[in-house]
Amino acid sequence: MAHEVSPVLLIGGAGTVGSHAVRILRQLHPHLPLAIGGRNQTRADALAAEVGKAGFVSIDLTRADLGLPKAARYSAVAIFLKDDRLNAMRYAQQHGLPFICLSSSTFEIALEVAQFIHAPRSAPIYLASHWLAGASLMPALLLAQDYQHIDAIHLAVLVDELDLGGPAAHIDYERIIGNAASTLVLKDGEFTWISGDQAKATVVGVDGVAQEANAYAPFDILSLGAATNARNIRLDLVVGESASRRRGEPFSTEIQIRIDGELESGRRARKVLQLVHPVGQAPLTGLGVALAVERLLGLGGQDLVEPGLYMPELLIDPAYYVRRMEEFGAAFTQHKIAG
Amino acid sequence: MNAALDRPVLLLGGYGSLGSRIARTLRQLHPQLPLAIAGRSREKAQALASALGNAEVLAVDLKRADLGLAGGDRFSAVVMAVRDRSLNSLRYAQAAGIPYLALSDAPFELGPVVALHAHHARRNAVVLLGHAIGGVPTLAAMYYARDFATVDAIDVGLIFDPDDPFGPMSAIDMEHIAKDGPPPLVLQRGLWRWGAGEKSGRIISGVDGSRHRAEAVGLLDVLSLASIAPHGSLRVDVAQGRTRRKEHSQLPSHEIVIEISGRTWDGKDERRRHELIDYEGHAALSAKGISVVIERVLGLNGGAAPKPGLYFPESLIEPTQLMARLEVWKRVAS
Repeated sequence: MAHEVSPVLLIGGAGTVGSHAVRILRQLHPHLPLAIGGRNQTRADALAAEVGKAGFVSIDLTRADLGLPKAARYSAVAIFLKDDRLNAMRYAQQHGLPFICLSSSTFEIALEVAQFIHAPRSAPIYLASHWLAGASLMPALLLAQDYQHIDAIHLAVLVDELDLGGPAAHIDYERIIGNAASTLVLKDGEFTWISGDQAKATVVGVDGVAQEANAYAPFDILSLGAATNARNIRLDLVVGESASRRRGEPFSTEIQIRIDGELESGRRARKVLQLVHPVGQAPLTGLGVALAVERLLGLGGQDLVEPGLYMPELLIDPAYYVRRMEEFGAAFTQHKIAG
Repeated sequence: MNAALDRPVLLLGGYGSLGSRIARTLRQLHPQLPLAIAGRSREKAQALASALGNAEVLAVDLKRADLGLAGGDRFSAVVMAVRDRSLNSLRYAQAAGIPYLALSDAPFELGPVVALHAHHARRNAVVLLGHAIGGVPTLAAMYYARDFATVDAIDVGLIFDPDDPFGPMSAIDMEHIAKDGPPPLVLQRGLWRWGAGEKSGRIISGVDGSRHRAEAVGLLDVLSLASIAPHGSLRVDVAQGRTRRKEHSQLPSHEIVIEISGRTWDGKDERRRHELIDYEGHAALSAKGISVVIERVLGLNGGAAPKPGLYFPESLIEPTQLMARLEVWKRVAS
């Protein structure tokens, strides 16, 4: 009975990524009420008018109550920017609401984890600080299902330099690059922090053009490390020119997943999965949040999620996630190279 | 009799500077508690096991998912006094459904342990205990903070004597944290920051009034303290300097200085200073803090063993209980 649900509070919901999440949620769930939280009412009002059954809510992240009236009621909270005070998460916990966040680097996970440990039975906490909230993780997990032993999972992700997101993404990037002395990889079965030359790489894009890359650690390394028996896991990030832009078209975002190992049949093989989203990174990230909201509220008819600490792969079937990625514009190509 | 006494506690890195002190403290507290000491040097492990009594020596291979332990080995808990980058030790504890204590991980590197726990959250209790001095300063600060209705700031200062150095493993860990990690995590008026910027150093007055130059340190303490002062300012600093000696003794001690400011229950704004000294040095005090947590996860100190889940020491130990058990010299300064 979706029409009786309280609104989902989307903090930063009118922003670059948030607005995609709002539109996708509306498309998937026409009756779900949405509260677009932020500081810029003009933009939020326009978005609310566009999608319907939505409204603007003023949010002050410097306040423990977020500046919300006592009588306000929500069904879940998602935040599209870094909340260095954790007020939004604490608010969700105090009201027993599922909470979704996606702006941390791996080295920052402790803040959300500690806040979870302080109140473990209060609410489900969904950590989606993976590359584009799960857009590389979930296809990688789907591909990994073909293998019984995995030697290496390599993720190569490309974000166009014209597609660096809005101000929130810029703040994340500066904070992460400014503070991270090194990056996490799984190497020969050991979680290892690398820096300098070890972190440098060359990535060949979907059109065969090579560009410089650097190892980068969104939560993909953690989830893949926990979910698979891979001996090596690494993600390399290119900030450069996307293949579509080289062809004279608008920028796009590219993800390449390569797995080496032994298939269920016992044969060794390398499989490569490429995906391109022609609109860039924001729609895929927005989709990840929309699917998280859907799952946490049980809008697909699933059981409600108990309080606990979650990552996307613990609650959402990778095949379903990938199907939705295709539906919302991602183009996949798969290659198999027998070893 | 508690069932935990039927099976040994597996102590990895059990004969090292910290590990051996944990083993001795546990033995002192629980003569009946069987211990299994594992490490790379069988000789050193054997020497410690003989001295302890009721202790066995095991070879553990962290590169193997079964840790290279012969089938049938069953333990009551796994305590990691060494760093395990493979996480095979955690997988082993999860498969066995027994508590797991991680003593090494700094805030920036909690990810792998936390993710693996999240994947098997109902299997076992995982205690994150990468706190300074086995969590003792943090629990002590939480104890003293109870004098306040609201806490504005907690500054913890730890003074290590040059004659009371880190063991080699701890020294390697500290070097790794400084090299690979971000600047130390601090909370400034409710705002989390990596690095205190220009204020990364401060001067701490030791117990005898001597002044020491201290630097912020990036361990788990501030995360725990945030549970009682989420909108306050929190930091832990470490200094090196000569610490107080017992009369007629030349042995170094470890000093902890805890300064708390806030509003007291009778409405006064105050800053209070508390000092703790352990005359046995920092590793011994760490071992005491850690041993109390081990007792707790085994259900040996009255309460039932904790359910599967993710824990910090303050989720398990009542600060009053710890303070009552610590035989440290302490005083409240003005």
